[in-house]
Amino acid sequence: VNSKASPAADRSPPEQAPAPSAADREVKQTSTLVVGAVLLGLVLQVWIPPGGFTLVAAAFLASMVLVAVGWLAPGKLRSTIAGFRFIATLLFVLAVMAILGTLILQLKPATFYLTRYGVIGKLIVALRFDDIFHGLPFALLMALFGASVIASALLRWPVKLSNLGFFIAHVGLLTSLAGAGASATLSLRGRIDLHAGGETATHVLITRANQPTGERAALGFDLHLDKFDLVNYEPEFRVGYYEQTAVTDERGPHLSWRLKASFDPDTERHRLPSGDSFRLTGIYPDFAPTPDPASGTVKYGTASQDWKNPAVSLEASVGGRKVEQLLFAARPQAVFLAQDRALIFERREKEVKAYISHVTAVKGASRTSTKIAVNEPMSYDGWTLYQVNYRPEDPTYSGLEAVYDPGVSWVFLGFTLICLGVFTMFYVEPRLKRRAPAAAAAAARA
Amino acid sequence: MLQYVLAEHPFFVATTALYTASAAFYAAAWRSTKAFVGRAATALMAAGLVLNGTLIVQRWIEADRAPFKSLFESLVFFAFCIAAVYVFFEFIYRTRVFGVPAAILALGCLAYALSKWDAEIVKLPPALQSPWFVPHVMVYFVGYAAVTLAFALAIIQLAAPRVAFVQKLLSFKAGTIATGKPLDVEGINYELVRFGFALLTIGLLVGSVWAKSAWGDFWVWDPKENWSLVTWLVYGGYLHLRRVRGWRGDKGAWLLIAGFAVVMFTYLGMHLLPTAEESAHVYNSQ
Repeated sequence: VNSKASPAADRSPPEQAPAPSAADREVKQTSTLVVGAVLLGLVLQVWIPPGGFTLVAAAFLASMVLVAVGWLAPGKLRSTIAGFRFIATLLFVLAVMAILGTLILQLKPATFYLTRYGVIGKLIVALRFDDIFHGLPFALLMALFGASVIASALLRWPVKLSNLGFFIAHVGLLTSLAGAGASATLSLRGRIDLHAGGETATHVLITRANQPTGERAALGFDLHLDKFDLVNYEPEFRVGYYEQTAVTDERGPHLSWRLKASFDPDTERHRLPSGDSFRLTGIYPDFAPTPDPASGTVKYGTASQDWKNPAVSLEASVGGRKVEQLLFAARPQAVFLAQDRALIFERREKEVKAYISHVTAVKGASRTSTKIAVNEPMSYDGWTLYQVNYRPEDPTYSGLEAVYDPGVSWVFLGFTLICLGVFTMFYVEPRLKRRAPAAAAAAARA
Repeated sequence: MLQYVLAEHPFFVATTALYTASAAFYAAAWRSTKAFVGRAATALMAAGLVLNGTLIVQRWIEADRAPFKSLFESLVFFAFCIAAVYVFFEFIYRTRVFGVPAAILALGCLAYALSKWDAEIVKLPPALQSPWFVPHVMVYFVGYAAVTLAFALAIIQLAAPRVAFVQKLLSFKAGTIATGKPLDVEGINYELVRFGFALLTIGLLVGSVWAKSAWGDFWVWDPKENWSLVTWLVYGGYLHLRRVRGWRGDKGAWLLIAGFAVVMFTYLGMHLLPTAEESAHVYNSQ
C-alpha cells in the first residue's frame, strides 16, 4: 500500500519520532501511571466507599496534583501526560472499565451478587465492582484523563488558528466534565406521586439508582395535578398470519403460535410467507346480516362504516384448494391453512401513545399551569419535572420525577464546544494549514 | 418467504437486485479496461441507493413515523447509509476499487433484514416520540456506515502487501480509478474514520440531550450508552494513536477491525449482555 497521503487526507506527519529511549520512557511512565491509578484506587477503596462525591473529589484533586507535579517536577512527565500515546492508552483502559460496567449489573444489594455469581460475587463486592463508575479506580483514571486534557491544552497555549479546534474540543471536554461533576455532587432526584384532583405535592421523595433513600427535599412550591390524560393509539383491525414454531422459554421447549405477517383489511390478493395466498371477498365494519327472501339465504352487509362489529369474508388458496370463511374480530376464529399455519382477523389492542399530566405550580401569589409529558418536561423554580409513570388500573395516578441539576447547563455547553471543536479540528484546520504554505510561497514570489 | 417478499414488497427485492448487480459490475471493473463497466456499476449503485431511499420513505409514510424503530427498519436504513457514504467517497476519491465491498456490505444488511422481517409495523412508544429521535439515529447510522467502510478498507490494507491481486487492484486501471494515481488506502481510511468519529461524537451528545429531556438524566450508564461510549473511545484512541510512530500501518488497520467489532456489538449484541434486561435500547426482535 502506498503510504503517500491522499489529497484530502490529513498531511500532518506523525508526532516527531522520539528516540527509542524517549519512546521507552513514555511507555514506562504511561503504564506506571495507568496501572498505578487502578491499583491505588482498588486499595484506597477499602476505606473510601464509591459514590458521587468520591468520584468528583478524587478525580478533581488527583488531576490537579498530577498537573502540578507534571509542571513542577523535573523530567518529562508533562510531555508524557500531554502525549498521544498516553491519552490513547487511557481511552482504551476507560473503554475496558465501561465494558466491565455492562458485564456486571450495577448498584445491586451485596446479596444479589453472592447468589448470582457465587465466589466471583464475593470478589465483585470486595473490589466494589458493583459500583464501578463511582469507585476510586474509575475516579483516578478520570483524574489522569482530566490532567491529560489540561496538559495537552496548555501545551498549545497561546491559541493559534491552526490549533483552535483542538483547543475548543479540549475546553469542551473539561467543561462537560466539570458540569458532570457538579451534577454528580449537587443534583437532587426524586419521585412525586400525584392523583388528579387529589393532594398537593410540596416535597420530593429522594431516590438513588431509582430506589427511595427515605429522604425528602422541599420543592419550594406547591404542585397540584389538575388532570391526567392517558392517550391511546386508535385500535386497528388486521389479518394476521400465524405459524406454530418451536420455542424454548421458562416453560421449557414447546410449540407456540407466532405472528409472521400482518395485512391491512383490503380486497387485494396477498401472498403469505408459506407460499399460500388469500384475499378478502367482503369487509363489514359493522356486520349486519340481512335475510334474502328470494334465495332463502342470509346476505352479509354492514350497518355502518364505523368499526363496531367488524367481520370479513376470507378466501384462502392452499395448494390449489380454496377455503372461504366468515371471521369476526370479536370472536376467536381462524382459518387453518395447515395444522401449523392459520389466518386470523383480529383487533389490535390499544397501545399507549402518550400520558400527559396537567399541573399547576403555586408559589406565593404566582400560579403557573402547564402540561408535562414524556419528552416535554416542565421547568419551575430550579426543578425540572418529568413524566415517568402511570397506572393503567388507576387513571387518576401520575408518576413524576423531579430533578434539580445545577451542572446540566455546563454539560450541554461542553457538548456544544466538543462538537464545534471536532468539526474545526477535522475540517477547518487542515484547510488553514494547506493555505498557509501557499500564502507564504506567494509572498516569497512577490 | 422469498415469494412473499417478492409479491408483497417488490421495492425491497428490486433494491437487493440493484446492489447485487452493482457488486457484479464493480467486480467486472477490476478486470475490464472499458470505462463503461465502471460507469454502469456506479449507475446501478446509485439506482439501488434511490430505491433504498424510496423503501425508507414508503415505510415512513405507511408507519406514520420515522422507520428506525425495529431492527429490520434500522438494517434497511443502515444499507442505505453504507451505499450513500460509499457513493460520496467514490465521488471524492474518484475510484471504484472499493465498490464491491461496499455493495456486499449493503447487501449483507438487506439479507440480515430479510431474516429479521417485521411481522407488523410497531407503534412508537412515548419515549421515542421526540424531535431528537430522527437526528440521533440518522447521525449515528451515517457514522456507523463510515466506520464500516473503514473496516472493509482496513482488510484491503492488510491484504494488499500479502495478496498480489489486491495489490494490483490498488494500482491504475482504466474505468476503476479515474485519477490514474495509486491509492492511499490508509489515508482514505483515516478520512472515513475522521468523518465517522465526528458523527459518532454528535450522535452520542444528541443522545445525551434526548435522554435528559425524556428521563431527566443525560447519562445513566445504560449498556447501550456504555457501548456507544466504548465505540467513541476506541475510535478516539485510533485517531490519537495514528499520531504515534508505528501506528499507521498494520497495527492501525487491526485497530479499525477491532473498532468495527465494537460497533457491531453495540448495534446488534446488546441482548447478549446480562445487563440487557435493564436497558431501554434493546431491539424487541432480537
